[in-house]
Order: sequence, then structure tokens, then C-alpha cells
Amino acid sequence: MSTTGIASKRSAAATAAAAAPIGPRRRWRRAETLAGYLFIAPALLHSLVFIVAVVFVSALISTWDWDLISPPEFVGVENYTRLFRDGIWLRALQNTAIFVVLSVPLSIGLSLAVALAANTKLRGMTFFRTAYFFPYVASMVSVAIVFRWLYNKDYGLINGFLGIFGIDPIDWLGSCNTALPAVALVSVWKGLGFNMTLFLAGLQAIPAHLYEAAQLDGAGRWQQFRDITWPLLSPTTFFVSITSMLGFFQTFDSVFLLTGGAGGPERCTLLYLNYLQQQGWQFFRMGYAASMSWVLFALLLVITFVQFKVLNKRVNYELG
Amino acid sequence: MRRVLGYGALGLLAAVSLLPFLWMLSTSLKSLDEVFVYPPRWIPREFRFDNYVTLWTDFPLFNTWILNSFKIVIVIVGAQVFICSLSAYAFARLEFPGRDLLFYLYVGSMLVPDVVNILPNYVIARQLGWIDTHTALIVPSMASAFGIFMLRQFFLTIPRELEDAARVDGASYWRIYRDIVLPLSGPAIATLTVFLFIWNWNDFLSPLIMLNTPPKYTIQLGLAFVNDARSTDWNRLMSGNLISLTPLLVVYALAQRHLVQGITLTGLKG
Amino acid sequence: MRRYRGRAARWLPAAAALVALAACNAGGGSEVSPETVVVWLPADNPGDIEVRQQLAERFEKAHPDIPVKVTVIPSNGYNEKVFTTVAAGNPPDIFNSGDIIIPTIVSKDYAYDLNEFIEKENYDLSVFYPEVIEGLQFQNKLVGLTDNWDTQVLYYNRDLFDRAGLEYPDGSWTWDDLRAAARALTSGQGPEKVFGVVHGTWFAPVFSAIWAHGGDILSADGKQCVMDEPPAVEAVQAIVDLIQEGVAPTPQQLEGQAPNQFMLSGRAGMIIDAGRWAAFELQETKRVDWAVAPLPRGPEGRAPFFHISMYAITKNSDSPGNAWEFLKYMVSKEAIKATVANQQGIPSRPKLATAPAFKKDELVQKHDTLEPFLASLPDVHPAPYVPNLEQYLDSMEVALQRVWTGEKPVEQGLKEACDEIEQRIAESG
Repeated sequence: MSTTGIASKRSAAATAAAAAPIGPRRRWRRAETLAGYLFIAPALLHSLVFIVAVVFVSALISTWDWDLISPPEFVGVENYTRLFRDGIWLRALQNTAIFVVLSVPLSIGLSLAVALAANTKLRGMTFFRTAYFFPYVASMVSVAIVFRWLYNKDYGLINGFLGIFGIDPIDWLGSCNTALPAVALVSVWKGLGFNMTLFLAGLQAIPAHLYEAAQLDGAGRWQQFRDITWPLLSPTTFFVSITSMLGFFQTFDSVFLLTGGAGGPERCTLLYLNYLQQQGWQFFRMGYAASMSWVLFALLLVITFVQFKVLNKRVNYELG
Repeated sequence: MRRVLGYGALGLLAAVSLLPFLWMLSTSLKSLDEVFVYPPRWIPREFRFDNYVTLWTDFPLFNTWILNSFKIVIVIVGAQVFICSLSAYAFARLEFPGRDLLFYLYVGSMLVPDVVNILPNYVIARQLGWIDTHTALIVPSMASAFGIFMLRQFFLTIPRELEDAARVDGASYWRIYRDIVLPLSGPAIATLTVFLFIWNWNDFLSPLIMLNTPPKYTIQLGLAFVNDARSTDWNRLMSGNLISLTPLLVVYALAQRHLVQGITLTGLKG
Repeated sequence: MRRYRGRAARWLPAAAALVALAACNAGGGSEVSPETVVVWLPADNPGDIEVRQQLAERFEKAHPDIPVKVTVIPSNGYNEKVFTTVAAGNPPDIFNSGDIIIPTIVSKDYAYDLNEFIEKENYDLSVFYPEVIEGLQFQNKLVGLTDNWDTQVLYYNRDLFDRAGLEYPDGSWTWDDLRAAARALTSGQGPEKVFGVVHGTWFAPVFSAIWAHGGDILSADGKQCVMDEPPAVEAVQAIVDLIQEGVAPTPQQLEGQAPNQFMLSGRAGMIIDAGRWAAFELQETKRVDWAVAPLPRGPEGRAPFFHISMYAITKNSDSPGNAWEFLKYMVSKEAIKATVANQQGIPSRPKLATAPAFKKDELVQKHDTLEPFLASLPDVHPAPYVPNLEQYLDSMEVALQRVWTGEKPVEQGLKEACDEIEQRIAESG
């Protein structure tokens, strides 16, 4: 299976060695090896059934022409070759790429800023943190209704505000140029609480005495952030950047509820997973849908691999 | 002055975050013909608390569904935090052959979109005789690549000196995991707990596919009946949603104690 | 450090206990015996869970040898659930499916041909509306039976008609009457504007208009898309004109709301969008006095979309005989009487539809939700029973998105829809 590809490469192993700074490779110690296997045994057992088997079946389905009802027909790689002739698929892929490029940096930047603000000890902070987290637990249905109203061309708050400056009303969700960024903004806003929470947890791991020492040295706020917070937060930032990328690549709900399952207008907001879902569960082409998920997997694998190579090198796991 | 500005910014952000909440709250208290007045009217003319009460009268099993959800979610969270933290510790700290390969396989498995996975999941549950039991929901969620990856990242940041000292004293790996790594990982574990709670609480597809008997349903499955084939009672849908997300906000607020006053304040001083 | 040790030590056994609890929870599985009739139904309303349960119990009392397990499923996830189990080879014996899922089911030959049972025991089909039985025929097979049916109608606001001094719509109405009334009913500006008519843009109302103008969706052999031919273009143009004229809302003005919701808030004179299900939502308002009429006639008469659902027996049911017995019970007089209050449509048996009990229903008495449906019945038009209909509907939806906003000429939009549909037909061979 293709997952082994990444790990069998020497460079990946080298990266991993850097990730767990144990120093030069040495002979395995028996006690440690045994302990290691024992510690991972429960998860391993679980994943043999619920990850490996599931992944295997899904790979198998991707070689079938299958409508869920009739008996499956083996078609080899035909589903895959067909994908690259499918204009709508290419469109969805392109939309998703733009969507991810817009969302990921914005989401990471904003959530880090909010986490830094929420990490202070002002009165009432518990309330503020819970408030910022709220969008993450709010039902997407209600979020979509509120945002469709905000974005509305004729009565929306946003156009009302812009109108003060004499800007003509914009059909945010109805025009091809603005619909995708508008959907991206809602997704970023919805996921802010998730990333903020991860950053908050990461910030707690930075020892307070470092800041105290820096303050004694007369370091300003920006200097403290640059020299302490940012480098020491890097394992979290690394984790957040990977999970955000995965999350935004697999966005589904916001399009479904903001611009419809068909990704209106005219598929300008059709994202990869919307098309996958549509093929599988609406058009009953499960084999085709499965092959789409494997192509996405391959793509994400490459991107994650690059992220590991590029970012992981800059990650400080411990105080120097 | 700075303080005022700070609060102003925090307050503005909170307002933007809470807008859907206010809409939900106001909708949940309206009569149906007021729900659709557009642009939205924030304060209902007439408060209809019925919209909450009728959830219980229309669904005699409503309390059962809430309890089922609590039971399933608590078991999942407990099991997953335990199992994932064990593996994460091994991946972060122990050296053994195949470690990196296995870790990358886990990260890789996060990349497979799960839209198609409900099918194999159903087949496996059926083979194991778990259809129409809570086991079919619990066991597949007892571990996850996300949990392992996340905890490993946090464990890597724990200063190694503490463990080395314990090793010198002859502590076993289990002791180190239990008495050093876990206690120092409060924020990470609180974070994972919150996320697992939310995801599993909100899960709709698995209970939908796996369960067939109303007394076994979860809250999300039950609430889906409010949004039925012939009409959508937005007001009651929102009152149901608010009831369902209250536990999530409570869990988040509670977790903050561990989330924010972590080791920097207490742990290292001991 | 020390103060944590105790806490962690307490926490670990608790976690272990939870895992053990989860493990013990296994067993007690519930795959039912093969002779049990497993029935899955989408929920029409919350009361369904109990009503259907009672129905099953009553049946079991009369047929102690046939166990039945009825599960009511949220309509929101019904298809996913049914098709997952179909795919896994573990489907229910009886399922309910409606509208555009029927083409998928019948074109893939997944429903039992009920004629087999009917011939064997001379089951009398004449107790049902003939249109209903015809609507459930496919290639001379009877693919299901039903307890109710529904079709597209026109909803109107009596108060607004009274205020404008207009006659209420009736079965004699044409599209010209619709246009004239829509103009007269439109008033106001901005968010308070009252629209004469809100015409839905999803396939059911649009198909109804196309058929009424003499057009069609696909050619008889299902190989060609004919939506770009003049009658269909004319039909879609008629709807677009209402929007352009300002007597129907633009998609932006509709944003986020179903047409029915305009009726609820008193901002619509008429709605063409829904079948009888909308009545249950409208029933909740006390503000608007509304009623129902048949759809207006087009140049080629009337052809409202036939919303029909059916109980079907799955091809690989392990007890088709038992399933047939329960299916018969679900469409029996007794069962329809018990469920009628929970059904969205009109009873499938004429005797029950016109019985005094049904006529006394509040919806029928106050809002005239019976006669207009019966008047529409001779003209109803079911969805085309072709494979992959869902794909064609998607193509149509996408191609028409800018037609409704007035940004794209109707002809061009329908041409694009047909191009993609024909491409999809060619692909699936």
C-alpha cells in the first residue's frame, strides 16, 4: 500500500530521528523495545481492525464499478483514469486548492492571535474563551443561516456597512469571484476555536520563568514573542498546520449549507469532498467516489511529506 | 486605557463569535411565523418556552437519548485518552524497531477521507455482531491517529531531565508515564478530551447507520426527527440544538481549568 | 510532583474500568431472525416512531407467526442508511422510497415485482386510485404499493386576494391568470415587499411548468435531453419573466429561505413549490389565512409533478412472503385510518380519501387541502424512471443557477444543461 512509501524512505526516517532527539542511532535496548511494543499494543490492535481493514476495503472498492445495489464489477484502474478526464473533478480540485491556500494561513494566524489574547489573566477570561470556542460547537445549520443573512446582497449587514462608504452592494455568495473566499471565511471563523484551543494548550507548556528572565533582561513584548513564544510553540504550530491543512482539504458542510450541495454558483464553490459525497451517495457511484478519496490521499501524502520535511526541521521540541 | 481597549477588542470578537448563538436563542423562543421575518428580528414579540417543553412531550425517549449519548461519549473519551496516551508516550520517548514507520503510518491514515468508510465500518460491525448495540459506536472510536499524533507532539515538549532523573532512580517506563508524563500533560489531555467529547457527541452518521431501536438512539439521532420529511420547525430545531450543545460548552468551560493553568504554574514548582 | 501522583493513580483504574465496561457492553447483538420482516421508514413527523410501533404490534397480534421489526429513521439520513445496508448485503425486507429515489430503485431492478403475489391470491388493486397504481408500474412490473400520494399544487393567501379584490384561484386558471394575479398582488418595497408569487426553482415545480407547456426532460428512449426545445424554453422563460418583472423574488431576495417561509411571514400572495407537506408547516401560523388550488394550466394543459412514495420489498429479502403480508397490512384500510393523521399526502384508497372522517380534518376543512388535490390527480406526471436521474438533476440545477438571476439567457442555460446531461448519458453507456 502506498502509505509505506513515505516511511520506507531514508529521508523520512532521518526526519523522524530529528523529531525525537535521542542522538545518534544506537542498538535497540531489549527492555525499551519490549516496553515500546507493549505501550503501543492496544492502539495497534485497534487500528488493525478499524483502520487497516477499513482502508483495505475502501481501496478495494476503488477498483469496482459499483452502484451499491448491483453486484460490483472489477474495472481495475478505470475509475482513476476516468477521473483525469472528468472536468468537474478538475474543477473541484482547483476550487479546493484555492480554498486551502486562502484558509490555512488565515486560520493559523488568527487563531494564534486569539490564543495569545486569551492566554492572559484578565477577569472574565473564561467567558471570553468559551465565547470564542462557541462557533466550533455551533450547528453548521444555524451558522449558515446567520452568515447567509450577513452576506445577503440586499439586506445583509456587510453590504449595509460598506454602503456607508458608498460601495455598491456585492452579491457575496452569488458571484463567482467572491463566493469561494466568502465560504472560506466562514470555515476559518468556524474552526477558530479548535485551533485556538490547540495553541492555548501549547502555550501552557512554555515555562513562565523564561518570560520572567526575559523581562529582567528588558525584552519587550514583541521580543518575548519572537525569542520565546514562537520557537517554543513550534511543535504545536507544526501540528496545527498539518491538521488545518487536512481539515480544510476535507471541508464539506459549509459549502453544502451556504451555497448548496452543487457548489453554486455554477460549481464555483464545489469542493473536493462535496463532489466525492455527491458521486458516492447521491449518484451511487461508490467505486468512483472511493477512487477520488485515494487520489486525494495521495495528494495529501505528498503535501504532508513536504510539510514534515520543511517544517519539522524548524521545530524545537525542547529547550536548547 | 489599554485595558479598556483590550476589553473592547475582546468584546467585539466575542460578539462576532456569539452571533449564531444569539440567533439560535432568539429563534428557539419564537413562534414559527415569526421565525421567517426577514431581516431577523432579534427579540421575539412573544416568548414561546413551549418550544423546549414539547421536545420532551413529543419524544418520550428524549432523556434516554441524552443519557445514551453521555454514556457512549464518556466511555470513548476515557478509553481513547488512555490508549492514545500510551502509544503517544512510546512514539515520543521510547526507541524500538519500526517506531518511525508505524508513526508515519498513523499520520498517513489521517489523510484518508472518511466519506466512503462508513461502508466497511458497517460490514465490520456486522461481522462482529455489533449492529444495533452501542458497542458498534464505542469500540471503533477507542483510539485514533489524531489522538496519538496530538499527544505525541505535546509529550515531546516535556523537559527530558525529569525523566532522566527518574530513570536514574530506577523507575520503570510505566512509572515514568504515569507519574511524570501524564501529570505534566494536563493541558494536552484536557484539549483532547474536549475535542473527543464534541466529535462523538455530535456524531450523527454512525448512530444512524448502526442503531435500529429507538431506546438505543443518541441525542443527535433523536434531534434529527425534529427536522422531518414534511416540515422543518426551525424554532424547535434550534431549541433542540441549544439543549444538545449545552453539555459541550460546560465541558469546555470546565476543561479550561486544566487548559490554561497547566504546568507552568504548578507542576514544575513541586 | 507529589500531589499529582495520587490523582493519576485514581484516574487510571477509572479509565481501565471504562474500557472494561465498553468491552462488556458487547454481545446482546440484535440481528433478527430471517423470518422477521424488517421494515424501514423515513420519519414524516415525530409521532411516527410510536404510531408505526403500534401498527406493527397490532399486525403481530393478528399474525402471531410473522414477527415484524419496524424502524423509523430520520428522513435526513434515510438514503445513506438504506443503501449502506443494501451494499453490505443486510438490507431491510421492506423499505419506503419516494420521488427521485424510485427511478434509482426500479431502473436497477431492486424492488420485487408485486404482481407475483397479486396474481397468486387475486389481490384487488382496484381499491386504489388507478393513477397511483400506474405511477408505481415500471416495465409492466408493479414495484410497490403506497398508503398515500401527493402532488404539486398552488398555495395562496386568502387575505391578500380579498384585499386586492381578486377571485380565488381554481382549476380553471391558466398561466395568464397566474401572471395577472401575481402583478395585482405585488406591493411594497425592500424587506417588507409582498411578492405576488414565489415560484420554486427546484425540479418538481420546474418540471411541472415544462410539462404544462408541452415540453419534456428526456426523450422517450431516455437517450436525449429535450429541455432545450422550444416548449421547455418557453416554460422556464415564463418563470424567469415573473422574476424579472419583480412579481416573484430573485434568488438573492429568496436567499436562505424556502418559498413556503414567504407564505408564513405573509410576504407571498401565491406559492408554487410544494405538495401537501407544506400544509403542515403553514398550519402552525395563525397570521395568514391560506388555501390550496390546482396548478395553473399551461398551453398544453396541466401536469403537476406526482410526489409518490412506495413500500417496496427488496429483491434479496429473506422472507418475501412474510414481507408481502405486512406490506398488504400497511396499505390496508385499518392501517391507513390509523396513520392518516401522520401522513403528508392523500390516502391512496378513494374510499378513505373521500370518507367523512378525512374531510373533517382541520387541514381539509379550513384550508381546502383535499379537493384541489383530487382535481389534480387525473393530470399528475411522475418523475422520469431512468437510471442516473440524480445526475441529470444536478446538471440542470447548475446550468440554471444564473438563469434565475437573469444573468444568462434561458435558451443558453437549458442548452448547457442538455449538453452536460447528454455527456453524462453517453458516459454511463
